[in-house]
Amino acid sequence: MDQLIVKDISVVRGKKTVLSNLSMNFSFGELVAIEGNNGSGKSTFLETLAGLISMAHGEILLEGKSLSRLSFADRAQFISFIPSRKTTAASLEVKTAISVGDLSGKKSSRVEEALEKFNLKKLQDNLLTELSDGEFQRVQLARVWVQDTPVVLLDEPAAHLDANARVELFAELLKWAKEGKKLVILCSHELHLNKQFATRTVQF
Amino acid sequence: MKLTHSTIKFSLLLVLLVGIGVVALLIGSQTLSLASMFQDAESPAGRVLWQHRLPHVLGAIVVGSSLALSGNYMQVIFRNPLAGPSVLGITGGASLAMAVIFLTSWGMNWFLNAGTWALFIPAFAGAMLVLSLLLVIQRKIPMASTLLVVGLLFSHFTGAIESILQKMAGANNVNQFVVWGMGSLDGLTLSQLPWLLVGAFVPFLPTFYFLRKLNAFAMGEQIAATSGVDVVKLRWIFLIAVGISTATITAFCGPIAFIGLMAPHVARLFIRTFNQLQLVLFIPFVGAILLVIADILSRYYALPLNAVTAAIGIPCVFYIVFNPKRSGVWIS
Repeated sequence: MDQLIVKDISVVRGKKTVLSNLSMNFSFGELVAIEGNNGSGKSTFLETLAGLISMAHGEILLEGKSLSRLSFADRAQFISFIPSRKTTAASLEVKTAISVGDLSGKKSSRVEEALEKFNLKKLQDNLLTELSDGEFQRVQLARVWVQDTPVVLLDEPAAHLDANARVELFAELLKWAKEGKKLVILCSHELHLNKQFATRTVQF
Repeated sequence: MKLTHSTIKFSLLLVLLVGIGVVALLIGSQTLSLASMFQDAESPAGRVLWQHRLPHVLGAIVVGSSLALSGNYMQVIFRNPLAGPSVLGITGGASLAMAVIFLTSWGMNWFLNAGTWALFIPAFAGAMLVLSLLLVIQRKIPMASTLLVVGLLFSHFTGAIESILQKMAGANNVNQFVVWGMGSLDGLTLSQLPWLLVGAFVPFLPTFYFLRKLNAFAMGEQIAATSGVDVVKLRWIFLIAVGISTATITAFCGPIAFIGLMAPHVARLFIRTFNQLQLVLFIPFVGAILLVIADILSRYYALPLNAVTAAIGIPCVFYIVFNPKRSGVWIS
């Protein structure tokens, strides 16, 4: 079975050990919600999976291959990431931002498809800084949809959204997991939505 | 539809550049008629035109376009719409190195032995020193506004050391340094132009291959890295190009302020996009046009070039500060 295996990882930030000897298995087709208090290491865990933070020890295996040995370009074939809103703000048009999911420039038809699918066609020339939180999150989803990786990581994707948009987001992500056979892992404080949509919740 | 718009705008810039270039050839201490362009190159007017003004105008085009690219890249890499070689102290670093050469006796001896070309070496070392310090500081304090303040402090600091060196140096050396510091394209000769082109513009050629990745960079380092960009490597590719280019320009023409900061904004307003794949076609032309205009004004009114670029550039900075959404907010 296709799996992402986290094997005995520890992550140290400054002098603080944020993750200690953590082991976990994930399967494709799962929507995993990670819950926990602020500072419990949820974001650090996602960032480690995304390859943004190096591990003190341990290993992450995707389909048997060690992720830490892959180049950035190779890793981007397997894992995509939507950081929390507070870390991203950019002056870039919606369409250009979505095409960041296609750095090879070979999937321009998929970028067009994404504009339609995520209802962003009319906004394609707007700057990200001019968007509402909901629109901004749709751009992020469109970007990783274009990147089309088997694993998708999202850090607090619902944090700035209204109630309807949250439900839509979770429903869409569940579809990615179930129909697209992707592994979707997200950090979320929305406990009731996690319960309603996630196929598994993990406590940190 | 979009392509035709871009093509029209691109043609417009090209025509504008050629037109302003011709005006720049004709205007100066002695104003020449259009007919003089068709006179014998050995006639008095022909000599002024082809031997003195042509290298001057071509130099302005090379320098303006290179400074504009430098400014654009720095604004994306530092995620700061107010970045530019002169604002962040990079020109200051190069300038300080030049002060050491012009204002100290061993520096002057070295220069006299090594020749004009060698000025590039200290200018490059000075520029890269400041760039590296900025990168280290940016790692510790990622806020763009802090970096801007640090860059300004660097500029003041290098300026202070330059003043001390001036105080200690002989009047002749000081005079040479002060004239150099006003920024000027006057000293350029036709034989220097290929070197200027190689040092100022050619370092940018490899960067054109990485423009898609630069777009990803504008989304923030986390998104860039997870989209497949080696962020550290990319940053150095762009900053080394900026360092070599700025150092070459500073060595040949002195520190030229504000063009690098201003041109990318003018270009973005003109073609209304932040997509680097399109912008990079336009930005060099806008930079070239702005510097040729500044140069015409500076020669016509006999003003220092930097006084003119600042007079044009500072209103641009005001615009950026008062229109943060449209002019580029990368501040994270």
